[in-house]
Amino acid sequence: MGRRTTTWLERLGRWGLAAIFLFAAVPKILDPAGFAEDVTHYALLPDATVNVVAILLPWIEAVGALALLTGFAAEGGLLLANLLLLLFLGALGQAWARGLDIDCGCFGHGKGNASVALAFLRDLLFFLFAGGVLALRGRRLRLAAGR
Amino acid sequence: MVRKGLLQMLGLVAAGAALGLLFNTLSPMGLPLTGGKEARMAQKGIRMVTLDEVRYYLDQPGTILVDARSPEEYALGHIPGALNLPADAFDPAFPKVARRLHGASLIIIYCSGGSCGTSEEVAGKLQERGFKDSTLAVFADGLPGWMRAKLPIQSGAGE
Repeated sequence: MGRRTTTWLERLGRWGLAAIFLFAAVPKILDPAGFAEDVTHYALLPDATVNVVAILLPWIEAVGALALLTGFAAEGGLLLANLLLLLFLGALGQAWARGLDIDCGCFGHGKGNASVALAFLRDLLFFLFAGGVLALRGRRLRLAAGR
Repeated sequence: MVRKGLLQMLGLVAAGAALGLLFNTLSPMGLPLTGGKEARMAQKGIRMVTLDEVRYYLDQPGTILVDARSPEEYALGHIPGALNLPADAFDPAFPKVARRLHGASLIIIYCSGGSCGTSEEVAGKLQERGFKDSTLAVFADGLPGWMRAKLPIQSGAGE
């Protein structure tokens, strides 16, 4: 794969990831109480920490998405996207393993979100996609450095 | 790339956290940072009740208990007399219990205790259906709190 192709594939991949994260973050930012309810459904965090997570997580997703979209701090944005998707996979995986019948809340509260199993598989695809884009970024930087 | 990326990522997390806190402070929808379920309920105008209060109110006429868990969990065991109104199947289940709920002077909703959110969700949905805040309460300790006090449990499916 040439430098130009790598550059464009990496760029399109970043924009795709940015769209996913923005699409996920905005409804949660607009309804923090609803997202807090969704977080409690996972029965994973102490109740006292739920509000803090509901306040901070959507904004971290949104800032990461902006980094991916603009290319400013793109490596950080890609690492953050991978890390967040890994965390979501862990949360969904434990909910699936425990047989919790909950809305995943992935793209906002009460939006007919997918079941836990479906959300887990969807997140797995997103994670593989994000890993691929990170690899492309590495290849792009190596090509640019002439290595 | 990795070191630079990690530093950038930490910067993005810090920026996101700062924006989140700022937005939460300025927004009318902002959540209290601490206090968990109790604080969220207070924000909605719904009060939390303790086990002693639940027992007191159950002796008063017009009090109805609502179990917000799934029908399967409800069938395995619930507080005697509680109606099942699952958060995930609220719309189909509501008409079956609507008449009794509309006649209640106090509706106490519970689920699986501290970390479950379905009682909050059902309380919010009842608010949306026009139930006054003063007629709604959430029993935060839920079924585990009831069982810890060695109070009786009823099993079987709902109506």
